[in-house]
Amino acid sequence: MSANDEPLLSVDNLQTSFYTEEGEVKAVNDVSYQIDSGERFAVVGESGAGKSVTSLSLMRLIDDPGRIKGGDVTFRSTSAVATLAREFPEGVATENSSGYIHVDELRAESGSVGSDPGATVRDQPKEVATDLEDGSLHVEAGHVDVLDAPDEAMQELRGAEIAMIFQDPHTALNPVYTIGEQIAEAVRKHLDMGDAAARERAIEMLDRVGIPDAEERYSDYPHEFSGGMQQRAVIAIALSCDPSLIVADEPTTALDVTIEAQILDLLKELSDDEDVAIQLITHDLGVVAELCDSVMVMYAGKPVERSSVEELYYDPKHPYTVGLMSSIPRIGDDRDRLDTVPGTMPDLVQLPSGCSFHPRCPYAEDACIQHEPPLVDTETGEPVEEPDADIHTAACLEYTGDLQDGVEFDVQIREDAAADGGESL
Amino acid sequence: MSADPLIEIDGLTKHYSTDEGLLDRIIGDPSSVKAVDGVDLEIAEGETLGLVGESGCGKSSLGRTMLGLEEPTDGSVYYDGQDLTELSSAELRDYRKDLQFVFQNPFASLNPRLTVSDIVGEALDVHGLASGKEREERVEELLETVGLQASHASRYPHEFSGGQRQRIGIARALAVDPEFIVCDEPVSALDVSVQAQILNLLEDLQEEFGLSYLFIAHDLSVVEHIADRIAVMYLGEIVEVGDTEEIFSPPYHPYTRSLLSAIPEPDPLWEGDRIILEGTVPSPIDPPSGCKFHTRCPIAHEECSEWDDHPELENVSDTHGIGCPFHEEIEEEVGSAADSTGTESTAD
Amino acid sequence: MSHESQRTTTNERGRIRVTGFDTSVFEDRDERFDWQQDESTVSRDRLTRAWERFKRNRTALVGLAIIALMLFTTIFARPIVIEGITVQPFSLAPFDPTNSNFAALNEAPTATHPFGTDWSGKDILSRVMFGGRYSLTIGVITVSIALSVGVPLGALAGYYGGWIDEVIMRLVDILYAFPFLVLAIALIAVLGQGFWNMITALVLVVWISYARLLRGEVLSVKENEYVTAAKALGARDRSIIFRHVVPNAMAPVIVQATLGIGTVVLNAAALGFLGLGLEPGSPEWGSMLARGRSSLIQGQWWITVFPGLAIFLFVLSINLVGDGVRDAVDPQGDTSGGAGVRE
Repeated sequence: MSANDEPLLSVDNLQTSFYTEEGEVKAVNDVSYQIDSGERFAVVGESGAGKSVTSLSLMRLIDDPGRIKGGDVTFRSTSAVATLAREFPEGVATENSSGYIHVDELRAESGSVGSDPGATVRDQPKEVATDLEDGSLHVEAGHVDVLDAPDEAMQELRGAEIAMIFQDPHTALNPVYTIGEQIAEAVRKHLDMGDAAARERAIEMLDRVGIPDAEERYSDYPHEFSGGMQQRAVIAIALSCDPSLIVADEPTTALDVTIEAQILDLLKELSDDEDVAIQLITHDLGVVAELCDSVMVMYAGKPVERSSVEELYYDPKHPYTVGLMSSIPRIGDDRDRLDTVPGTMPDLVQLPSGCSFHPRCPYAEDACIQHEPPLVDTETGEPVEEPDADIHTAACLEYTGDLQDGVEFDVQIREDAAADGGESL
Repeated sequence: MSADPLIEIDGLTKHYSTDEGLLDRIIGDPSSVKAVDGVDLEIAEGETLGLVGESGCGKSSLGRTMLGLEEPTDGSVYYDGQDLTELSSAELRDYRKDLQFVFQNPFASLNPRLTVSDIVGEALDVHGLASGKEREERVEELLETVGLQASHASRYPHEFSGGQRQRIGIARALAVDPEFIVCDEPVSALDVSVQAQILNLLEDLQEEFGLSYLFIAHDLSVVEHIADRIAVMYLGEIVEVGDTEEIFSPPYHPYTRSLLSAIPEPDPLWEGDRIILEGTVPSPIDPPSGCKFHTRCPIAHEECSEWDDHPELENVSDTHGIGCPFHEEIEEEVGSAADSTGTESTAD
Repeated sequence: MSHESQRTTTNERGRIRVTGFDTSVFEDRDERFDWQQDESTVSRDRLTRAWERFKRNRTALVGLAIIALMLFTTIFARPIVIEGITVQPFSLAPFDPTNSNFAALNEAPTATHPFGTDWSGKDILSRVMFGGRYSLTIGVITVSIALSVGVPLGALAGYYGGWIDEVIMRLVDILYAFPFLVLAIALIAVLGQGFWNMITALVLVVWISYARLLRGEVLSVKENEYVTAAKALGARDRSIIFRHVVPNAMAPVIVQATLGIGTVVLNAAALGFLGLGLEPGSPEWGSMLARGRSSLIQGQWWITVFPGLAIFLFVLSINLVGDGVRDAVDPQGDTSGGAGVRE
């Protein structure tokens, strides 16, 4: 949990590029967003938009030929800070050293604030670690600069504080170990539990994610589970160490719709009960509407719109979002033809000038070819300070007032949907 | 214009045996995957019949078996008065000029070593429909029909995006000027905006060339948009068939109802009634007795495990058939479930 | 735009409708908005791409260079006369490899005879240069014939399965069970020595690995959707096998064949060493090793070392090239242009 009202995760101006023979592929090009504790945040885009790379960058899982070029990722989980401060006391930032672990506030067991915690941290980081170890102080507020953390620290974070769920549960699960063992292993490593305790916890987790007969199924192998159950098992592994953030990359795309419904319900329930934030990567607008609180739409490596989920669906601002919303077939809406967004997303090696979307945008004007639109508050036309999704932002010159003809589209709420012949369900 | 259906499928069955060879047949216990288990369907000229179901229901097998890409175990497929299942592969080859197939995976369905011209024109070569300059022109014409450029003919599949590859696959199917095309999940592997392009293309082609489609998909919103009639499949059997509006409105088969309620609606303020099914999809090797859906059905009665009328459907209207004697009860069930807030307790 | 105050929850589907994203404007719009992805004008097929990848591998290029050099040396070592016409008149080798010079027996390497001479005064350098012809031709011919036998059989076995598969694969299994030399000895005992007999023995041993390898590849390639697509078009089996299946299954076999040339040369040398190869006295490297055995004991190392080095160098270079081929031939193909498809 993070303290006060600071977001759990802040990503600021993240840039990740891949250096290939064809040139620099700017997969993530100045992306900023934030996720609060327990919030469910969606990164939406089509393939090639950079949404998966954003999440991998977050977890520092980018390998050659990719590199995180710049930006900041700030993770404000107090348990993460406490764990890292204990394990890597030399990484704690002090007056003399610029570490990546920042302890801002400490509190003693008794409830009163530790005496002059600032001095303790600044001058003697090892004492902070010792104090945490013997339990006399615990971290009340702090943050980790994820991009500055060394690999060993990231290994501590991954799986324990930030867990990841991938699309294909089949490949995420090791076929030669039982499901129970895979959960227990994670628990033993991160929570320092003994074998018996780890087994208990694993069975508890299997039960929590709705796998019946959890104790028997502990010793089953992945191939003995159906696809939906496998994904539940993956979620169990992800949850086993009490993470504050789960990054889920298309977790339901490979599943049937009835199973998808169950998994989405499960994620919603777990997120609410355990106060776990979820970063969901997907292209499926139905899943986003069902599960998430806020959204960021990406196109060609850049964010083009960011808002609360209700605003995105009822009041979309960016033409690409409008195009996507027009092109999905909706049950109950009997249009003859779908409005499409013609063409395809450009190759990230070679982007169009100005606004990357202009070749496919029906509202494009000359200004769009010349100027790349900044991501601005759609009310004021100014860039925002904090990437807070409550402020509706879009990267379109319409909102900076630079378009002459404006963008014309309409979002109807059809109260007569039933009368049309589109039926209520 | 005759009222006879273009294609009539009668009791089509496809079982895959799971034995692996001589030893298995002697020692082992040969069992079979009953992928398609007695399917009756009709497709009229110029119409799009949507076939929906989840993975393992056999819809892909049905598509392939009806065109002879798999050997049927039983049943008949009538086209133009002829039972295709009785033809030798040489005789069937002739019919392939009328009956074509579009595949799901745009990456796997094009031979990476051949140029687009080779791929699209292969049918022309096989059936001797055109050669030389004429063939070249026909290929270019086809490419332009599907929204590509003539210059693409000399390129290789890997140079194209998924949507473009799917267009190439469609051009290939069109090369022989078919009457009927089985589209096996043609848009499932594509991005959202590209899906819409391909769907529009398929609709345009249908109008321009008078095609009929069997449109296989798992995404009901896509099927609702493109299909005139829909058949819902579960574990190898059709459980409901009817006009699109009839499928999406009561009365429902319990499975159809569950399926519909599970679809995520692209509207954050939507709060629909949910039916969460119990259990997992049974294995097609050993399907449940009686009604195959009874193990997971929210309104299952005791008699359902012995219900042997399946796969016959009860006609609730001229065009609408439902394979469930108790289907009226599902709407009440959904209503009462909605009263208790939140979702049903799940046990997948 | 929608009105905030009217936003209530609903249980009706399809309530939102977005209109106005009008794509008809693209038809009349000025060209400057039409941005085309720069498509490379050079459309490269798999072969060209593989070659380009190969070129980037330095060790493979070194191997190729050495082989090219050996090939050059051996072609121009002595004149080549076909049907009385002198096709190649040059003579790089300083001496006639078959010329005995009894004045210079068993001479250690000197300026005139950089590789020394053997027991009959023949210049070893010339013999090594000329002898390359045997090794290279044996290697290439054997592998070619083995491919033309193994590939079709493996393809048929893999594609049709059933009894065809059983028959062919059992034959392969039987042949595999014999150690190569035992088989070769048996064959040559029956057929006698000689160039073509040796080739036959070598082919017999080598084709089985290509057949088995190709069959394995075919088993997975034939499951690809483009094969089903070809069937759906009405293509005949023969066309499917040789147009769709085999070209996509060949990659590992090509690698195996390239490396196989080296193995064949070694095997030929072994046969020669045992005295089962070409006629005694021929400058084939293996035979030279065989004959030089006794000389080695007497301290005349040059008689065996140089042919041995030649074999070593050739096989090493072939292996380097083979590795380069393996890296260059990518069975997955490029995945550039993957936009528009979600995984």
